Amino acid sequence: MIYRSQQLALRYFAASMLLFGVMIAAGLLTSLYYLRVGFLLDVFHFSTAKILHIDTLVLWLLMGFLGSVYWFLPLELEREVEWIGLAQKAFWIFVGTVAAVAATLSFVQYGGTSAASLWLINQGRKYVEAPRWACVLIAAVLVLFGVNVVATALRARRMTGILAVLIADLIPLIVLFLNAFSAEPNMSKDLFWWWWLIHLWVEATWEVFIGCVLAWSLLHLLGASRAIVESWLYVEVAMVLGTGILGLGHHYFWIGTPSYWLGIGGFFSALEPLPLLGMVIHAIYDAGAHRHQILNRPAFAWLLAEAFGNFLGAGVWGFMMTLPQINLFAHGTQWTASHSHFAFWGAYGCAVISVIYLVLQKIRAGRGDFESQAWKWAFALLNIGLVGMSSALLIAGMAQAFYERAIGGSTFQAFLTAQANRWMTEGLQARVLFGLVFTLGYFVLLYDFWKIGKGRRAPETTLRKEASG
Amino acid sequence: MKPEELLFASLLLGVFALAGGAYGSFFAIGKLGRSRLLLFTSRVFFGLQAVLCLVLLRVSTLHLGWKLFLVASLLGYAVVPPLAWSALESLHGKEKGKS
Amino acid sequence: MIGDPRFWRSGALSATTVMVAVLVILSIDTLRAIRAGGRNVPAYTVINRRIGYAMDAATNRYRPVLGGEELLFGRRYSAQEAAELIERGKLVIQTRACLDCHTMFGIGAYYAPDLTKSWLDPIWPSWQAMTQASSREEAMVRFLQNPDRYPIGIRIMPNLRIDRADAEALVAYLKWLSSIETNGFPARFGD
Ligand code: HEM
Ligand code: HEM
Ligand SMILES: [Fe+2]
Repeated sequence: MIYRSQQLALRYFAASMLLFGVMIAAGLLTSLYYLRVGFLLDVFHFSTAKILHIDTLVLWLLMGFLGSVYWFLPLELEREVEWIGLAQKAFWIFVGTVAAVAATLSFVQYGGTSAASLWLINQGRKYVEAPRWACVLIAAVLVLFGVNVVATALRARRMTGILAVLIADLIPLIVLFLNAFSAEPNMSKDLFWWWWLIHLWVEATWEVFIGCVLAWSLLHLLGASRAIVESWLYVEVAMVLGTGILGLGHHYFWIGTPSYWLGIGGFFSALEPLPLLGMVIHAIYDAGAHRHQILNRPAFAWLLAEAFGNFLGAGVWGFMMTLPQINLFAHGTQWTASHSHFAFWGAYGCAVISVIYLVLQKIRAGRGDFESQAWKWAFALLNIGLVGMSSALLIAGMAQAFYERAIGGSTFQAFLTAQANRWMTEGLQARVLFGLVFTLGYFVLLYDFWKIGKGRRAPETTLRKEASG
Repeated sequence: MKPEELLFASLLLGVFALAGGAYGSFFAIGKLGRSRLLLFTSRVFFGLQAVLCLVLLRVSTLHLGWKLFLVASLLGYAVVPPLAWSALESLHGKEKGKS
Repeated sequence: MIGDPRFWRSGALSATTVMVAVLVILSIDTLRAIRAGGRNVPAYTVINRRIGYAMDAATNRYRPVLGGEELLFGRRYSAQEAAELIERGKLVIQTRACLDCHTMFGIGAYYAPDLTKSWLDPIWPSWQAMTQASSREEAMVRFLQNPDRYPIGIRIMPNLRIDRADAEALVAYLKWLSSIETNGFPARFGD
C-alpha cells in the first residue's frame, strides 16, 4: 500500500525537479550577462534573472526536503500522516505561489518606492526576494508541514531518535525563515539577522535536516540498524552544530560587527570540514559493510556523491576562504560563487536526487531490476558540469580577489579592471560551457527518472498505477 | 597579507584540507579492503598534509594564532578517521553480537 | 558507553546548548555595537560630516575617519530627517534589488561593483565632469537617475525609475554606509 502522504511526496518531487529545471534555465540566462555588454539592458535585468535562479534553488531543495519527509514519515510511524488532506491542499498553494512569484518577477521585475512593492513584487533581499505575501504563504506551508510531523508522532504515541531530531530541528528552521520579512533600515543589523537565516539554514538546520533524511535513507536503502544510524546521527548533530553555530561568525567579519568575530568565526568555521570528513568515512564504511545489500545503485551513488560533495564543496572550498586574512580579499567575489555552487550541490542537490531514486525503486519495481545506462550518464554529466563550473569560477574568483581586492583596493575602477582580466573573462566563459554540460545531465536525469525500473521484469502493481494516476 | 601571497596561501589551505580528505578516504577504503597498499597511500596523504602545514607555518604570514590552529587541526585530521572507524566498528560489532 | 545512543544524544544536546548560549551572549553585545550610534555604526546624522577612510597604524587596518561638518546637498539634516532619509534609502535599495547586482559589505551579487565605500570612490571627480554636476552628490544623483546614459566600461546599469528624492536618499545612504567600521574591508581602498 502507498500512503496518501507518499503520494504527496511524489508530487513534491515532481515539482522539485521541475523547479530545478527552471533554476538551471535562469542560471544559464544569468551567466550570459557576463559575456555580452548591455545584454537585455532595460528589458530584463541581470538582477531579475539571478533572483529567479537563487530563489528557485532554495525552493526546489525545500520541496525535495518536504517530499522526503512526507515519504519516510508514514513508514517510520506506520500510519498515515495526520491532516494529510490539508497538506495536499497546501502543496497546490505552494506551487501556485511559486508560479505567481515567478510570473511577477519576470513581468514586473521591481516596484516603486513603497512598502506595497515589498508586499507585492520584490523584497530585494538575497535568497528571500519573493514578495511578502508569498513568504506568508510559504511560512504557512512550512508550519503546516511541522504540524503534520508533530501531530502524527503524537497520534502514533511513538517517538524515534531520528524523528526527535527532526522535530527539534524544524523549530529553528521555521523560526529563522521569519527574517524573510525584515526591512530593517540599518544595513549592519539587517545583515546580522539575515545571516542567521542564511548561514544557520545551510550550515546548521539544513545539515541536520538532511542528516535525518539520509539516516532514513540508510535504514531503507541498506537495511542498516537503527541503533547505529541514530548514534551516528547524534554524533553528526553534535559536531555539525558544535562547529556550525558559531561558524556563523565567518559572515561577521566585515559587516560592521565587532572584531572578536574574526577569531571566533575563523576558528569554528575552519573546524567545519572535520564533521564532513566524518560523514565521508561513514559513507565508505557503509558502502563496504553493506556491499551485498545495495540493490539501488543510483541512489547509493548519489549518496556517496553527497558525502564527498559536501566535504569538497562546503569543507574544502569553504575552508580555503574562511580565515579572515584570506577572506578579506576573497570576500564577495566569484570565488564566493564558486563555493556556493559546489556546497549547495554537494550537500543538498545530490541528497534530494538520491532520495528520489530510492523512492522510485520502491514504487516501480520492488523486485525487478533497478538499473540503467542513463543514470550513469546523468551522474557523470551533472557532476562534471558542476565541478567544472565551480573550478572555472574559482579561477575567475581568484583573479578577481587578486586584481580587484588585493591590488586594486576594491574601487569601481579596480572592479572594472578585474572584470576585463583574461582569467576572469575566460573563466566566466568556461562556466557557461560547463553549465551546458550540467544542463545536458539534467535532461538525461529526467529521462532516467521517467524510465528506470519500468523494465519488463518489473511487475505491474497497483502501486504504480496509483502513483502515476 | 601581501597580494602575491594571497593565492599561494589559499591554495595551500585548500590542498591541506584536500589532503586530509584523501587521507581519510584512503584510510577507510584501505580498512575495508584490508589493503596495506591503500593504508600506506593514506599515510602518504597525511604526510603531504603535514608538509603543507609546515610550509604554511614557515612561509605564510598568517597570524600566529592561525598557525597554532593549523597545527591543532592537523591533529584533528589525524584522529578523525581512525576514531570514526573504530566507533563505527564497535557499533556494528555490538549489533552483530546481539543477533 | 559509545554503543549507547543516549550517550551521543547527551553529547549533541550539550554541544548545541553551549554554542547557542555563547552565540546569544555575543549577539547581545554585537547588536549594541551595530545600532546606529553604537560602537561601530555612526548615528545617521553622520551624513552631515566629512567622512574619510585611511590606514590606521595602531590597528594596522583601514578605518573610517570622521571629520568636521560637510553638508550633503547643502542641507543640515536633523536626527529625525536623517533617519527618515536612511529609511527611504533602504526602501529604494530593497525595491530596486540593488544587491542582486551589487554588493554592500561584500554581500549581494557580483555583477557590479561593491558599494561599501562608494561614497569615497576616487572615480567621482571624473564623473562630476561627465555628468556636468556641481558636486559629488549631484553627480551621483544624476548617474542614479539615468545610469544607462553613462555606461561605465563593460557594465551598464539599467534605468530603475529612480526619482530625485529617491536618488538623494540613496546618496545619503551610501554616505552613511561608508562611515561604518568594517574591520578593514575593503583593504587598500583608493591607494
Ligand atoms: C552545506 C554547507 C554549505 C553551504 C550550502 C554553503 C553555502 C554558502 C553560500 C551560498 C555562501 C554565499 C553567501 C552569500 O553571500 O550569498 C557561502 C559563503 C561562505 N561560506 Fe559557505 N556553505 C556551506 C558550508 C561552508 C563551510 C563548511 C565553510 C567553511 C569551512 C564555509 C565558508 C564560507 C565562507 C567563508 C563564506 C563567505 C564567502 C565570502 O566572504 O564572500 N561554508 N556559503
Ligand atoms: C547551468 C548551471 C548553472 C549556471 C549557468 C549558474 C549560473 C549562476 C550565475 C550567473 C549566478 C550569479 C552569480 C553572480 O552574482 O554573479 C549564480 C548564482 C548562484 N547559483 Fe548558480 N548556476 C547554475 C547552477 C547552479 C546550481 C546547480 C546551484 C546549486 C545547487 C546553483 C546555486 C547558486 C547560488 C547559491 C548562487 C548565489 C551565489 C552567490 O551569490 O554567492 N547554481 N549562478
Ligand atoms: Fe556560512
